[in-house]
Amino acid sequence: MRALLFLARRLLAAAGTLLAVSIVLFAGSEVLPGDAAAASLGTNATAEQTAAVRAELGLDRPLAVRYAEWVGNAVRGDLGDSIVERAPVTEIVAIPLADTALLTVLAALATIVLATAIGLAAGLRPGSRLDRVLSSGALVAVSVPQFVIAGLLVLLFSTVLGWFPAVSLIPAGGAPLDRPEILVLPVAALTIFAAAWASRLIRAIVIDADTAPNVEAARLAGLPESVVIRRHLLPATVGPAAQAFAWLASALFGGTAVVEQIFNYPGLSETLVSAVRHHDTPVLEGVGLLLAAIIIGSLVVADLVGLLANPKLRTA
Amino acid sequence: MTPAAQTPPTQTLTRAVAPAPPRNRRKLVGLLFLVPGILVAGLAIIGPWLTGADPQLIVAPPYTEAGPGLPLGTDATGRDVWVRVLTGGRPLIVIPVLATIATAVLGTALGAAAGYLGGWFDAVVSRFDALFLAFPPILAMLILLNGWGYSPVTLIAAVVVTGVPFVSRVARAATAQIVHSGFVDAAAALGDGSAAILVREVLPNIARPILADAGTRLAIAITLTASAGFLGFGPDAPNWGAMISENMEGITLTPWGVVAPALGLAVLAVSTNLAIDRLAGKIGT
Repeated sequence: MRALLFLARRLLAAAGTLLAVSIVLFAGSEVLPGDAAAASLGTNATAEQTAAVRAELGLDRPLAVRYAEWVGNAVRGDLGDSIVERAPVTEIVAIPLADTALLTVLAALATIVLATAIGLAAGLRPGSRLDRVLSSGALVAVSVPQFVIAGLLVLLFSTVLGWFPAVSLIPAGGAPLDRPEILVLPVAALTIFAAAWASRLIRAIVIDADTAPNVEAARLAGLPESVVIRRHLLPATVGPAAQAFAWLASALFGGTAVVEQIFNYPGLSETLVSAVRHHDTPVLEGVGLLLAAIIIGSLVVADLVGLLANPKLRTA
Repeated sequence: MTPAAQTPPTQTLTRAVAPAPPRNRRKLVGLLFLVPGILVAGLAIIGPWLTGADPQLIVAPPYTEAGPGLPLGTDATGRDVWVRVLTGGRPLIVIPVLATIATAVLGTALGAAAGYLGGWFDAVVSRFDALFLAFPPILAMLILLNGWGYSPVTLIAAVVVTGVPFVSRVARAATAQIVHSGFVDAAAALGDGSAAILVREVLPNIARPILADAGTRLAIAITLTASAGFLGFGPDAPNWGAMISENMEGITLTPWGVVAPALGLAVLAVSTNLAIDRLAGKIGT
């Protein structure tokens, strides 16, 4: 019962955050000076022409009215129409979103495994030689821009060694999964950054849990170290680790935006970049809202995992 | 927490006369890490003056291999890669540094005020921070580029908007931690105003975590600025981010058009981050 109440409150808060994000997103992209009407006509348009297109697109109505309409439609699954392609945003975005999601999910799984292993190895013996090597390596990997990592991977594994294709060529009408080998390098580029980033958080979480009173008490009681780690330390790390991994949705997306470009991978990156280039604001807003929903959703899932792992939190 | 961070900040007499404490060695190593970064940054800043050549000039067929007169070969349209490397780094130093300073100042002001004042102001700032943390920085940058088009100001704004929530969170937490310690209460009892207390008592005591965070901010700012160029939003003048995407297709013919700017960026970001990490005495938080 308590857990259900917690879940309900958490979902309500998430909906509130998403609503607030939608306001910032809409205001941010509509208030800024660039105008879709002017952009779609080019520089030679007369004032009358611009006004006519603005009226046709409904841009002459007050911001609040347009926002209410946009959000109302979004709730029903309609994100408006692309100005450039004159087609529903949901239609344009569906396939690229699925392709990007494939990359992101694979990279997230790899990251969770790697970051947990590295974070535990470093965090259980802070200050040791192993920790110093792993922590410095992670710091280097998070510092380097992801397209630099991707470029170096291409240079090594496709140009020099020839193991994997440098470009994600997909036969017309096909999907990335038809040629799984094209996924290896993009997923690796995403994972190197994300695993380094998350392993730093996991390390801090493990160190934090290691000094918690119950763990110290278990040690003082004379329990063998393996039992202390398995029964007391690890359970305490599940909740915070789930929180850390929830941010992967955001971190990995930032990565796909550039990594996809390096490999010419068909995904959201090209959709977004061309939307910005052609001033196709509805596409940008639609993708932004979808991503925010995914990120906020993963934070809720993380909270649930933390709740299930730690009964004490159920009273919160 | 690393062992170094656990040592009390006060210098006792025994510590002062003891042979070089490890914290100083860490700082020395930290300064050494800065050297490659400063070299690359210096080259990027004076680069345009070192070469009189026009970076847009087509000097040879596309993707000509390195040779006499062309130390790094040519790029996708046959322009001199060495000249473009020398001229294409400056925006990646100037924009991120300015943006990071603005981010740190704004974030510290917001966070410290929120932590010190508490109440509704704190609640609003915290909500606002949480909101922006759920927003991938690159998406925020694309939205600003959509509205304003490319300009250095757009990129600085993107870095500030996405960075302020992080700095403000750090500043807020640090302030909340010290705000009820003796010296802040003492200053208040002596009749100092809020602004004076914030500047004289709070700021010096929260500077450390904020400076440590600033290194991460700078590295992210460099990445974000380079990403904009890489995605095709930049000036007509060369920049390292754009060079990597322009020359990617020819990487098998001559790698320098990609490798040289990539190395520059990597050294810059890694050096900054490692140095700040050592100087601030913390790894992996």
